[in-house]
This record gives sequence, structure tokens and C-alpha cells, in this order.
Amino acid sequence: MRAGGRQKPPLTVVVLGAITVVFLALPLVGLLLKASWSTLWTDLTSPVALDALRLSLVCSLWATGLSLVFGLPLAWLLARCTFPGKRVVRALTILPMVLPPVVGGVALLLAFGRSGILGRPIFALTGVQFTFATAGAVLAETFVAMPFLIITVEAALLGMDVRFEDVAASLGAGRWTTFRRVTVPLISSSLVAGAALTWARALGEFGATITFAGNIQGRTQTLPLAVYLALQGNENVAVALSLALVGISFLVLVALRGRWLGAVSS
Amino acid sequence: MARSRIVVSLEAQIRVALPPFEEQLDLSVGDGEVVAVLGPNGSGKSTLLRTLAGIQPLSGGRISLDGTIVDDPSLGILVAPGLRSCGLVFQDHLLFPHLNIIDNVAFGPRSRGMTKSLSTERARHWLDRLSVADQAGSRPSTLSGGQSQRVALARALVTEPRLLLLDEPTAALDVTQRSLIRSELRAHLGTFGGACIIVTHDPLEAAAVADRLVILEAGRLVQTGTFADVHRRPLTPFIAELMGRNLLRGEAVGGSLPLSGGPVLVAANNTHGARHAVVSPSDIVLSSERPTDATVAAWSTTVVDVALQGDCARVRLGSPDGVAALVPIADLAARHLTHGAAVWASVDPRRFDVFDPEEP
Amino acid sequence: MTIDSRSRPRIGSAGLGVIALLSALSLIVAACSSSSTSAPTSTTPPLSGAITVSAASSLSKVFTSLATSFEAVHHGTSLRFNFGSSGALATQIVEGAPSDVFAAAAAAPMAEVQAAGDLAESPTTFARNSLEIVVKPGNPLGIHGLGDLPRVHVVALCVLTAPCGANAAEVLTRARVNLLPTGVTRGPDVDATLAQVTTGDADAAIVYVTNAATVGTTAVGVAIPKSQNAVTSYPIAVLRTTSDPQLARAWMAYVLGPVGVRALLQAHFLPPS
Repeated sequence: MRAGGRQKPPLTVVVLGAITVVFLALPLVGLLLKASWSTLWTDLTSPVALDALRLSLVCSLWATGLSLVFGLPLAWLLARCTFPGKRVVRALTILPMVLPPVVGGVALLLAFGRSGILGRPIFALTGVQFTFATAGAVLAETFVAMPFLIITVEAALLGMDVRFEDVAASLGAGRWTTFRRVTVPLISSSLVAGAALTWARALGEFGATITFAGNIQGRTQTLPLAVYLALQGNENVAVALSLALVGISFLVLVALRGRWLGAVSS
Repeated sequence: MARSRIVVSLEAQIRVALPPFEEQLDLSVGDGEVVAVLGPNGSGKSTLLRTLAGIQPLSGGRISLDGTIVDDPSLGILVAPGLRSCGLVFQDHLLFPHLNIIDNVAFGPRSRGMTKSLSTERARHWLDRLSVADQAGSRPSTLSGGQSQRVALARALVTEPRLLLLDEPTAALDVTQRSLIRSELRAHLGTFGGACIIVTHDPLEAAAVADRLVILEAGRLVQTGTFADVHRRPLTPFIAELMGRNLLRGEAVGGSLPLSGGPVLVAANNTHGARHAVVSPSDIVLSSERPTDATVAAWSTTVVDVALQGDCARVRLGSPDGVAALVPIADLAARHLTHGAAVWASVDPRRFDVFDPEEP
Repeated sequence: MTIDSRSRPRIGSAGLGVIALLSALSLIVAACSSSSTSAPTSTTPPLSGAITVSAASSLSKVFTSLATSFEAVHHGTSLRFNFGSSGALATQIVEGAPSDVFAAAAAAPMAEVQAAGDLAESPTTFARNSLEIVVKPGNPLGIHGLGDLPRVHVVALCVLTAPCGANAAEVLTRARVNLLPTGVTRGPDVDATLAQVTTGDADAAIVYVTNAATVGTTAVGVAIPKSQNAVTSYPIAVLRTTSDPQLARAWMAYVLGPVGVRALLQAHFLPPS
């Protein structure tokens, strides 16, 4: 038994780990090799690409924001309260993660489409239509991505020491102040990780978006839609857009991983 | 601490039902008074603190602080913890890990609306008083046990509470820090104007810091009084053991008081009813044969357990339950006091303090 | 339900060519079959095995039903289909996706595959199709022609890389109808495009006549006059990389033969002439 210092990892573990790294890296390497570097800049600055990039960023950020605003309270309720039907509610929050995204899109149509349960009265009263509108893309992305935030935050709230909230209360902090100044800072690393996961899911959403929000350049054609369609005729553009998607995601994840997910262990 | 007039600041009739546990006790604490609450695990000490702090609502009864009712289910009154003027210090201190020390201490005033500069100034003042001002910018994780205890105390005191609740203040400290912190606590609590309740399992701490003891068992108050009172006349076996004394019980009838599991004592002719007889472990003499002196109260029993206590041995006897004798170590071998050995225990009857538990 | 009526099929010169090809194929098949003491017909040598057919989405219903009857006649055979937009399918085949037969909805995707050298022989046109407008049941917006489309909120069209989308663009240009990009949603293939009207919120779509024929009560068709309409030819060919040339050719012959012709006409395809 070594007294100190790090042990050398077992060979099997290293080999399996290496295979996994190759498995994950190979598709990205393939993208890099397939890219038409000479036309990359023009491909990425074409109207289709710029529209898709802008839409993807705008919609995914909106979806993350909405997930935070609406998902946090629900996560808090699930973690801190007991109420009848809690198990059903929890199942509902996980459902969008389990549903095939296209099915989610069809479900959204039936709810928010112009002839949908909620969509019809909204359209009749306000003339607002979600399908074929950027709001629809945001709605679709929020629907599939919010569960990631809810379960991450709920787990964090359940895992934290509730007595800190008792201390804050005894010191005179009201519930909102306690939440703001004690609870949120204590779960901050999980919160950021959850938001990052949510944003990543929203960014990559395809099936629900194309089914519910449609595919209109400049309105609902986010990067994944643009890539899928470009594949059918214009492979160079498809690869260029894919590289853009991968690049953005990679940058954000690398930036986050170093600061926040590492904080969980400290 | 003698005072001419005791202003009662805390009046509580605690009734809590948390099935299967039930708590029922009445308690009053005066201004400047320090009360130590002791009891075995699960006796309801934490529940008591939590109801007073406002974290656990009462099921019945009433709590008033400085004449103001803060909890009364029958009247539908329940004042939130933050509005009760009650300071709470947890056993593991629970300093906010994401704030540095000065922000931790300033948290209370800030939450109540004070400006940042004013609350920081107040915090610094208290950190000074408790001699941890040099740690103002540090994070809680870098503090020693004693330092973090003082900070937790400062954090509670900065809000100038009328009631201070301390949950096992020295339990998280190692032995060397304990006596230092204890004397500091005594000094600080001496200048604290409100009522103070300390939950502890250490009778020495209670003796050092508190004016009065309250002992709970199974959610009920079983004895209250000064340390000296409780030490002299413990009412239950747990209390006797806590105080390091022996409690024997019996029923006096017709001039005789047979103590269950122990000797028969002589009682006055007109005494009837249950009696407690308390004797110190050092007053019990052990021998391998029946004592020849007929004036001593003697009984036959066995050795159940032997433990070292300083330069003596604490010998637990088979009967009565929980009774122990304190014997010099040299005698252990000489008298063959091994586990299971038969012994005779004897006590000078005048060393027994016999009293009626209903009127101690 | 369409408003216009279909023209009755006639066998023209192209039809004669088809029959000739069919006979030739039957002879080839008969020559290749091992000597057997089974029924002395030239049309059913014992076939078995499985092949993959890549076909345009618009062929999904008719090909699926043809496959059922083909497999019933030739026990032991199994036909697997890969339906999608012809442009996407062509890309897949050129990239090396294993397939035995390719049936496209336009000449261009087939030409792409031919240019890559992946065809076993020259393609044969087996059907034609033209476009039709499809609107919500009851035609609430009163659309009677291409000229009414600009005032609609959203029109569903196929992507330009799909023949249906390219043809729609051609048709709209010819009719001098300009649709704003924000008013057009692009479906990856003609089935998805149609679905935007039947289950989605699009007010109108331009799809094939054959798609419009399948809508039932979920939508209503609005014909495009022949003068404005575009006709697309459907070529079919066996691929060079087929794993079972015999079965592949048999299937192609079946499609081109009387059973196939009848099924295609019933599905409202135009004959190949």
C-alpha cells in the first residue's frame, strides 16, 4: 500500500477511457477534415447561416431565461413542499426529456397551434400565433430544455443543509431575502451547471422546433434546422454550420467546466 | 447572582405533538438569567430551542417574550423567527460558507434593513468584543473551532436579541479549547441583558456558565434548580448519574425505609410514602465480607463494571441499578473486585440524604 | 378530394418502350433462372432475398402497396424502403449508403447519382407528377389559384433541394407570384410539407397531385392550371452496388409492368409518356 502520492491507473481503465475519447472525438475530427476551408468564411457569412446563427443564439438564450424564471419556483416547490399529486407533477416535469422531440412538437401543436386548446382562444383574442413565429421556436426549445433545469435545481435544493435557511430566518431574513442571499448562493454551482445544460439542449433542439415552429429562414430556422436542410444539397454549408455549432458549444462548455463544475467538488 | 427584582422576559408553556414524540413543559427565564437545559438524547432539548426560535410551531400552549405573545395556536398567533428578537447559535455554528466573516456577522442587521456601512460597523464592533476582529476578511472554512464559535455568537448577538439560545456551544470543540471558551462564554453572558438558554450535555459546563438548570426527560421537565440543588438532591436516576451521585429509592413504612436493591434504613416513625436516598460514590465502602459494624447500612451485590476515574476506580454495582462506588485503585486488586465478583457494599447511614421527592 | 379531374391514361410511344423493356427483362430473368419443374410461366421464376429501395416520399403509399403484392407473388422476398426527399437520397447513395434501386421524383437527383457512376444502367421514366395547392378543409381563405397565395400568412413548400420544392419555385416564377421568405416554411420532404397543412398551422402548401389525392377530409386540393403547372418525371434505376441484381431488376420490372402501371395511375400519377 502506498503511503501517499498518486497511484498509477489500471491499464484496462486507461484503455477503455482512451477508446471513449476517440469515439467522442472522431466525429468532430471528421467534421474538421470534411470542412471546405476555402469557402468556410463565405459559407458562414451567407444570409442563411447568419440568420440561423442569430436565431439559435437568441432563441436558446430566451429558452434558458424562461426555464430559469419558471423552472426555479417549480423546483423549489418540489424540493421543499408536500402537496397532493406531487408525484404526478414530478413525472410531468421529466416527460419532455423522455418524449421523442417530434412527438413533443406535435403535442405543442395540439396545445398552442392555431386550432389548439390554448392556441385557439389566444389567437381569437389577441391575434397572436406561435406557429411559424420565433416565439414558437422559443416555446419549443423551452419545452424540451426546462426539465434539465428543474431536476438539477431540485437535486441541489434537496442536497443543501436546510438549517442555513433556519439560521437566516432566525437572524431576521424574510423568505425572499433568505432565498436570494442564502439559498441561491449555496446552490450556485448546480444552478449554473443546470442552466448550461438547459442552454445546450435548447441550442441543439430540432424535432420539436421544425414540427411546431416550422422552418422559416430568419424566423424559426435555427442552426440545427439549417444544417439538416443544407445537408440535402449543400454539404459545404452544412459542415460549416455544424462547425459553428460545435465551436460555440465547445467554447461555452470549456469556459464553464473550469470554474463552476469544479467548484462542486471543493 | 443576586438581584433585587427578577424581570421575567421569557414565559413559555410548551406543548408540541410530533408523533410519536410529545413535549410538554413550562419554563420562565428572567432578564440576564442563564438557564442550562440538560437531558438524554431525544428528550426534547432541540425541540425546545426550535419552538422558542420559531422554527417549530407549537401544537398548544403559549410563548411570550417581554410580554409579547410570539406563539399561541389557540389565538392563531405565530410570529416569524426573524421578528422574535431571538438569537440562535447552532452546535456546528453554520456560518454561511459563501460569505466572509464580517458579512456573516452583518447578515442579521442587513436583512432587517440596515445600511451596508452601518451593519458592517456593528459587525466589526462585535467581532472586536469577541476577539476575532482579525478574521474579519476570512472565510468560515479557514477558522478554528473556537474562532468559528465566537463568530457564530457575534452573529447572534449583533441583532441585540432579547432571548439567546445556544445549542451545545462547546460540543464541536476539542478539550483544550473547551475550558477557554467556557470562561469566555461566562464573561459574555454575564454582560448579556436578555434571557439565555443553553442546551448542553455537560454538567460541568452547566455549573460553570448557568444560574439554573432545567432537566428534560422524554419531553417533560423533571427537575429545575441551581446546580447545587440538583447535585444535592437529584430526582431521577439519569440526573443522579449526570451529577455523579447515586440515587436509591424506597417506600417508608412503620419506621423503616427499605431501599430497593439496597440496604434498609431507619426512618422516623411517622414517615410514610416514597423516599429518595442520595449518596456519593465515594461514601460507599466495598468489602468481600459482611461488615461487622452493625451501625452501617450494608447490602450484598455484585460487581458489574469497573472504570478508571482519575486515580480512583468507579465500580458499578449490580444493585441497585446504576449505583456505583468510588474506590482507590490500590484496593481493586486487594479486594478482588473483578467483574462478576460478589461484594458487600456498606454506607454510614448519616451519609444518606433522604428526602421526599414531592418536596425536595 | 380534387376539384379538377384526371385525364384518362393512354399508352403512347413511351408506353410501347416500356412494354418492350418488360419483355426483354422477362427473357433475361427466364434465362437466368435455374432449370425448374415449376409452373411453365415466364413471369415467376423462383425469387428470394431482400433488397433496399430508395424512393421519393411521394411514392411511399403506392410503392408500399406494390411491395405487398410483389412479396405475395414472390414468397420469400423482402423489400425494404428508404423514403425521403430525392435530393437527400441521392446524396446518401453517392456517399455510399447501401441501396439496390433508386426511384426519384425528378431527373436531377438521378443525374447526380449517374454522374457519380453509381447506376447499373440508364434510368427509365416510369411515371410523372405535377403540382397542386392544398388548403385547410372548407378553403376558409378562399384560395383559388397561385395568385391568392401571397395574401396567406404562411405557405408550406418543400426545400429547394427537393424536386417538389424546385418545381414549386419554377411554377411560382412562371406565374409571377412572389412569396415573402417570412411567409414560407420549408419542409424537408413533401410528406412533411403536406403535414404542415393537414396537422399544422400552414394555410396552404404546394405538393404533388398524388399527395393531394391522399388527404381525405384533412385538407382540400386546389388545382393549378396546366399552363402554369410543372411536370416532373420519375426515373427509376438499379444501382451498381446492388447486392441482388436479379431481385432488383424483378422489382423494377414489376413497377414498370401492368400491375405497377395500374397502381401508379390509381394513385393519380401521370403516365410516363
